[in-house]
Amino acid sequence: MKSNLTFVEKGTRFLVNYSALIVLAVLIVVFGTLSPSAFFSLNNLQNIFVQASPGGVVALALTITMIVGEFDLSVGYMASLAGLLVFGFMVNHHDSFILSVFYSLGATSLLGLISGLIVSRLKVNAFIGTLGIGFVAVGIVYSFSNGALITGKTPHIVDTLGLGSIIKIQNLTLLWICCIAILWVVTERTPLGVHMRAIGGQARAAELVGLPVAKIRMWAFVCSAFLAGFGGIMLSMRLGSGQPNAGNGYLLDGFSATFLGRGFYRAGEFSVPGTVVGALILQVGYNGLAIIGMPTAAKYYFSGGTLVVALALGTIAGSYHFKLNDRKRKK
Amino acid sequence: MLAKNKNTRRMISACTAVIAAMGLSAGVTSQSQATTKTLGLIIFNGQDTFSQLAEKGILAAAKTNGWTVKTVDVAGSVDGANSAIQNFVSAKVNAIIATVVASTSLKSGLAQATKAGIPVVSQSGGLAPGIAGNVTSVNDVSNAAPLLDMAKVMGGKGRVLAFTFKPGLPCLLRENTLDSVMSKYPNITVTKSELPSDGHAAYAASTTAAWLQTNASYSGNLAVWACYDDPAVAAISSITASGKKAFVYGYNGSADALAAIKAGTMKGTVFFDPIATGKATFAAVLTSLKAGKKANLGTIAAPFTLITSANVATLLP
Repeated sequence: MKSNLTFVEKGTRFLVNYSALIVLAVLIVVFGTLSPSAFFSLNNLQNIFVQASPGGVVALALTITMIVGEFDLSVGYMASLAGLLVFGFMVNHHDSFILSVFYSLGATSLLGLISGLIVSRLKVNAFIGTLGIGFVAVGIVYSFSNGALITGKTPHIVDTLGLGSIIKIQNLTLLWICCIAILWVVTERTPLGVHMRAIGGQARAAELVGLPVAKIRMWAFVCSAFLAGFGGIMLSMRLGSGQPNAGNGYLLDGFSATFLGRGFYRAGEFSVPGTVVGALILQVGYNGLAIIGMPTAAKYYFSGGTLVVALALGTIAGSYHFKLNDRKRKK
Repeated sequence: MLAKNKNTRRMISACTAVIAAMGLSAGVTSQSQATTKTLGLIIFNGQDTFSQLAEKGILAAAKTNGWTVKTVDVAGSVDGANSAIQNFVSAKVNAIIATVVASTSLKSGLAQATKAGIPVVSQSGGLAPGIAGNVTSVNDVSNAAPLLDMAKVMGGKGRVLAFTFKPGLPCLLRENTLDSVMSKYPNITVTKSELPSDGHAAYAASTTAAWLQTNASYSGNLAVWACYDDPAVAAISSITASGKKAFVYGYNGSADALAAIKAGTMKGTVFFDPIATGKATFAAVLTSLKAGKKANLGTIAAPFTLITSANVATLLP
């Protein structure tokens, strides 16, 4: 089909659809130019991916709720909770790794279910509901550990998963890739994914055509809490200990990654591939700044700057597509 | 279907663009490697006064020895500390110093540094596999000094508000000493309050105000103990505002704490010369490099002094 767009419009569309990717490419070029031998070493590329993995999974957790038009402020606390619990069960209660993971993810999923019920059934604002559940998670952390880190002898599989690799790809990165693949299929290649995006786009309209809006939103919170917990377990395996607040910082980075991701794949919308690109932008930035030896302030400028840019890009992309669709309708 | 293909094309183009960007940059001629040695310095909490001064000591010692320093403040993030070690390994630094963060939580970072043969020295983070040495003034004797003085001025009875912070190893060790010393004073009731991951000063001030309110009618001795100076100093404003009297104790001998002791609003702090501690940490780096890959310096003690109104003039004339 022949496009009726002008050259400028095509250029604008390209920038809007690929803005996140352009940012990632620019960062790679800048850091690669400033420190080519260090930045492009195999070891560093492995580092970028493995460092992005636990936070990347938490960002995916956030993406699931964003796709259905909600948000989950508890993801960072859920990550901390699961990371601490898994070590607590293994070290203090001598449970097996599988059982410890099962208990930990069960705990976060249960809290996610409560969040989902509060938000979708009781119609409590997600900001308040998920923040409240997040604080409950912090309370459980302190009840369980008294605020102290948990470290000790753990099954060998913890080191294998946390530090090992298969054909030069670290196991934590492989776990992230698995999460990406599963979520991509669910959100992009199944009717459920279509329903989720329909609810996120216009919940009232989705309800009128008979979609189970409240039910899907509730399960989105369960899925989000499960994934956040999984990210937290990955993090604790990386640290070699259970930390009471290790995952808390993932909330803001997760938001940055999801909003940056609106500038790619489904421009103006939240998507799994978009969030992955967003997470890589942040990690490449942090890694590159550390390698070239920028002062600490630079990291904060970068974090703040990317968040603002991400929001701006997302808004521009959203309004651009709205205008484009509006014009198509009029024609 | 068209939409699906369009998005798949975007995914493929993403990978292509990233690979192209990598190729473009990789083609740029590498600059000649610097001949000076480089230290990777990880600051766990850059807002802590002691850490700031210890950093000054490390930087001064590094400069004297002709080293350049790359500094990262991980703002209390243990994951950030692991990433920082890995990034420093990629940047091919000659040695790494990690301040305060518990060494037992640096597993992935230390594994990579060990593999690369880069020594990691901890300042007050404790020993763990992969740590060449730990320079610390934090030990049972220095931890107990202000606690014993506090128990003495309280006459062995009263109530204590204790600010703890378990993610930081020095604080955790001091809390352990608090438990062990206070167990010998059954007439002193200790109320613990765990500091949040950030905003320690504001939290300490508001918690102290609330604690004093609950003890408004109590006529016995009151004291506030914090595992480092900043929360202790922050508590003073709440004590002054309440009109109550409480003995305040902390650790590190920060400038604010020393001024407060001189002014009579704080009772005591343990002074570790942070700049000397920083210099000693850098000296441990040089020793570990001389010792080679199997360097095992163990725990290296740094001196301390309990500062009270009796001797504060030696530091603040």
